[in-house]
Amino acid sequence: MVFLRYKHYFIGALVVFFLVFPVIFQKSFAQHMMILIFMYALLAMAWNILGGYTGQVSLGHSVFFGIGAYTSTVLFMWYGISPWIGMIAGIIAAVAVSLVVGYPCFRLKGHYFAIATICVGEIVHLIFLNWQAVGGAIGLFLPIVDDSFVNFQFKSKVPYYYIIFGLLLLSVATTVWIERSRLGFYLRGVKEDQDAARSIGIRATRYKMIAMALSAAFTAMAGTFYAQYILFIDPGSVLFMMLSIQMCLMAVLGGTGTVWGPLIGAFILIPLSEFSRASLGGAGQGLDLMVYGGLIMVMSAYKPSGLISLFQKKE
Amino acid sequence: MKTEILKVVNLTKRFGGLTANSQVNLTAGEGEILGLLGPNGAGKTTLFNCIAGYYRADEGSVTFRGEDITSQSPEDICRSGIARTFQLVKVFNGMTVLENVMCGAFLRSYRVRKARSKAQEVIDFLELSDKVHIPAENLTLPDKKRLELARALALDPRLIMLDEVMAGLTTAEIGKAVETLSRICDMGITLVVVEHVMEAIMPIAHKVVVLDNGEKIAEGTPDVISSDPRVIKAYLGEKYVAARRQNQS
Repeated sequence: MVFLRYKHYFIGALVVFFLVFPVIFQKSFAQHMMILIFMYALLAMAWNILGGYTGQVSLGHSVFFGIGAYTSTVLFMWYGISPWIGMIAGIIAAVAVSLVVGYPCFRLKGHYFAIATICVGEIVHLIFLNWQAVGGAIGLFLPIVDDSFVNFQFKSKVPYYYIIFGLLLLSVATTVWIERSRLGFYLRGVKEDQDAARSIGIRATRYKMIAMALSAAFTAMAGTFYAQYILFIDPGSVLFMMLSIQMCLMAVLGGTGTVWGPLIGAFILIPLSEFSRASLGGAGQGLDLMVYGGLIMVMSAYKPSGLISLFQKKE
Repeated sequence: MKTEILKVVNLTKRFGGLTANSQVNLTAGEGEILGLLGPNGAGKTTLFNCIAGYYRADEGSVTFRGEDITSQSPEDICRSGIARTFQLVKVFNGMTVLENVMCGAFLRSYRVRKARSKAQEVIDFLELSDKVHIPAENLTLPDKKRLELARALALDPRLIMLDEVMAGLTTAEIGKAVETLSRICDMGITLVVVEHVMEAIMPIAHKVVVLDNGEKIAEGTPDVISSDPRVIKAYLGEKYVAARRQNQS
């Protein structure tokens, strides 16, 4: 296919396009849409490390998103610490939680692992709903401060655009690196057959934890970004189960276990959900979600390996 | 006898009330092919899984190259130099032949390039070269078994345990598999071969251990084993032994 032959040029052209995008499209809605797409693409990339490459379907990833958002916000509000440092603290906290939660959960396989992650997600949601010190159900409004890089607050959307684009590129680079390294081979081995993987010396639990930690780190990163971009967080927006499901859906729709699948998924689902919410949202809550659901059903019936399979060579 | 590489002492494994292995003793010498025979349900695979760390033995010990490996994890046992294949083939279906074997080669080298060249070497040795980039799921059964063996060989093991590699193969394929096994043995790798097809293993095994109902009923060279009345009884039943005795007299 043409796409495959000129793959490098195509990717280069795309990167250049996204770099000049905010200059060409100065409307706030267009920029907002791209920022959302990039943020969700980052989340889908993060989910894909664990769910796609390692085959451990997690439906509780909102936990890490929430931890990223709350950690940086609380550190900023209480101690005036820069959200950039807060982001790193959030990553560390999310990785720590992922290891504590991962160890018992990885004793479960398949569906049971997924169910356990849902439980973890709901437990953390409830804890934050009732945790008054961090705003409880009301949530936290970030104080508006001066525009600056250190404060991670900008009046214009353009800096946000470039920051999230940079974070997304980082996640793509990490995924490409994983795919080509021993880690990627081992993760795929664990996904294919855990017993066989162990028979060739792969410490299955350890590798699943590594995947979970990497996945949690990128998810937390997106969480901090969200908090700084929206400047308001509450359990309903950052610890919502639908968020976990969305991460999974984007990766599955685009194609799990591939570098480009989650990106394609985000680029289709997010505009779809935004536009359908804008045009159909008034007709009643959830109509956009029905469109969503229909699309997923069509996909799983006709292209179970994701949209990416349209671009892949058949052996 | 050559130096001992694997030693199993008084190994017992129970599943609830069922004793799958009872007080089994066996040793394998370095560079030997040890056949592990027995009718269906004799406890061969259980014994095999106890040695490889997939089951925890209730009693007894397993020693490999002088080191006690009883109830270590499969990963650690593999690292100490024991590779295995599975009775029901377990290849990584979503990966190509090369990628499967590379997964094995990564045990000894972290670097991708090194792992790839090692894998390529093993693939050539096992005559899978023309299928390097084919996804494993598209291979035929004999090729899958060969691939599993390749993945095990790429680990640079001292000993390979093969669980019924011949099952489901045609006579011609068995011949080829037997030839491959003796080539691997020539490399100085010890082989423990679980089999219930007797003819397959008899010509190449240096020593054979026969299990029946979880117990070791005979041990010795293939010639001795094949005329042992207890073995014949286990395989062919009392009546056959009686008839044979009558014919001889």
